[in-house]
Amino acid sequence: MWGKTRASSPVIAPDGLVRDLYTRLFLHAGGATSLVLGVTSALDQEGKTTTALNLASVLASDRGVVDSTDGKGDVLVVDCHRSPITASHYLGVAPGPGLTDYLKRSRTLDDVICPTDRHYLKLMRAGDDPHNLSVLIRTEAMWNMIRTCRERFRLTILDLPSVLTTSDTQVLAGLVDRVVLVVRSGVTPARAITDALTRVDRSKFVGIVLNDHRRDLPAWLDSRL
Amino acid sequence: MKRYVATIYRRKWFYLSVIVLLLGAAVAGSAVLSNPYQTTARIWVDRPTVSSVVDQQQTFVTQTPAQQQGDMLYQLIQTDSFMIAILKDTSGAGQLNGDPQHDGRVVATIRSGLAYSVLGPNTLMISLKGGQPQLSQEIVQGTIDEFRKWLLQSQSEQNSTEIAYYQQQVKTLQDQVTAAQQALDTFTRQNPNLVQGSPQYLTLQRLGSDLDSMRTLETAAENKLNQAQLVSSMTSNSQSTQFRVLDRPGTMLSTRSRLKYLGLGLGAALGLVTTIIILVTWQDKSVRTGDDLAEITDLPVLAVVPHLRSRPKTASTVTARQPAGDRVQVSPSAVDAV
Repeated sequence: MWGKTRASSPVIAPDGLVRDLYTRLFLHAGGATSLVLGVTSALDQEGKTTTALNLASVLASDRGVVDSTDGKGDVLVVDCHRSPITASHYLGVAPGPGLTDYLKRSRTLDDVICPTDRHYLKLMRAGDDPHNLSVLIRTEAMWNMIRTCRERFRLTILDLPSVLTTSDTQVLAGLVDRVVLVVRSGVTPARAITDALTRVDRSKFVGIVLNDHRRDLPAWLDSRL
Repeated sequence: MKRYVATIYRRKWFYLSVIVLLLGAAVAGSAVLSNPYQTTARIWVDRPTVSSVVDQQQTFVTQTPAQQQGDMLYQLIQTDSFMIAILKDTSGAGQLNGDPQHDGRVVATIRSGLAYSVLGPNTLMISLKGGQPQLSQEIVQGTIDEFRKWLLQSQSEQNSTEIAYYQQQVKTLQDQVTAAQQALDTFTRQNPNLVQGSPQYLTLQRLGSDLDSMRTLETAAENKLNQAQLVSSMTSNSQSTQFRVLDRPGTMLSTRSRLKYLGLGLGAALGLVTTIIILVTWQDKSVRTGDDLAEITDLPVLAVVPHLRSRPKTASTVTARQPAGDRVQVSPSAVDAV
């Protein structure tokens, strides 16, 4: 338990918090057997990769909960970042062929889906040619990849770039089922959030994850104001 | 309101530091810059009693004696000669070296701390703020002495002038009386038998009238001279009633100047901190709570992830995110155990 649990607050311990989050997501998905989820934010450095990885990790560890008899209980994280610090970096997976290589048809899907040290968690790296990512995601191959992932994995999480820094996010958000917007408390300006919400199809947003939240005031003072 | 309080609470140590620093600077400033000792003396002043007795046609004055004498004292303090005369009889005389510029600076420093205030119609207070209590006391005493000396000298000079003037006037009038008497005697000898109503008789009457007028003027002038001489002889005695020291110079540690500096420091600190708080709160457009999000969008808040402190990295622990997510760590062993 790394966080404090308060009866009056939605803030709970991370594991329980993430379970609560994916339960809500699946409820919003209307009981879909497979879900392709995009995790993004208005600006960089707000915790979208963290949120995506924690969601994937806990879902993978909770395989019994999400498992279905068809054997597609694995969780896939697709790294859609051009940044050198990505999900693969944090999962300790060495750089290698990934999304761009698959979209260029130089590799098969199985070639670019690599295992992680979590048994049921798979990762698709950004690939060896991340600078062409913007072009490649706008091809039909990307649409086909999403469709294939939906068939093969219970949950596919696209770790998207931030909305206001590239138009790639708008394209990728159009391909996924739902989008979660991560907002870093005390950092993200309200204007950036409203701008981000106008750039992506509003119906795709399932909700907001308020990240890195700190209590501004102690409880005794907060209750008096 | 809550946002402002939150701004204060978030950076409470910073704001506290600013206040403490400025207060410290104020304390240091008060110790270095201020003159902590204040010497005061109170004197009783009055109009010259002899003049008021003798001069029956005093000019009407609206100022009280204390205001009159205070004005005089103020004008004297503004002169370097008066201040140097004060300083020469004190232990601070060594500060003077005869160079007008240097002496002027020394005098200006003392003058800036020297002040008078009117306490009542006849009471004046002379005060001096300084860093050396002994010297301050000597300077205030010197101011009183020099002022008394100046008043006495001024009065004496005025009396001498008056006496000389009236003596000259009496002498002139005596000459005129003598001349008028001689003219009358000569005319009487030349016209022994005058007929009443004749032109000669009228001339005789005119000469007699002139003589009477001259004698009257001479008598008046002699009276004035006598009065002036009386005033002169009484001047030194009357000074004791015109000018009395009620409270001799006394020195005390002044806390007012320190409090003033502390007050200024505190005021500046609070003003600065308040300005910073207002600006920071006004500039802060970031979203902090679910309520803030509810104000800008109707999307539900799915989760609120608390700020978690970083844990030291170990071989079995993988950090999930560096910039914003290094707070959430996932243990592979825990995951695999499921």
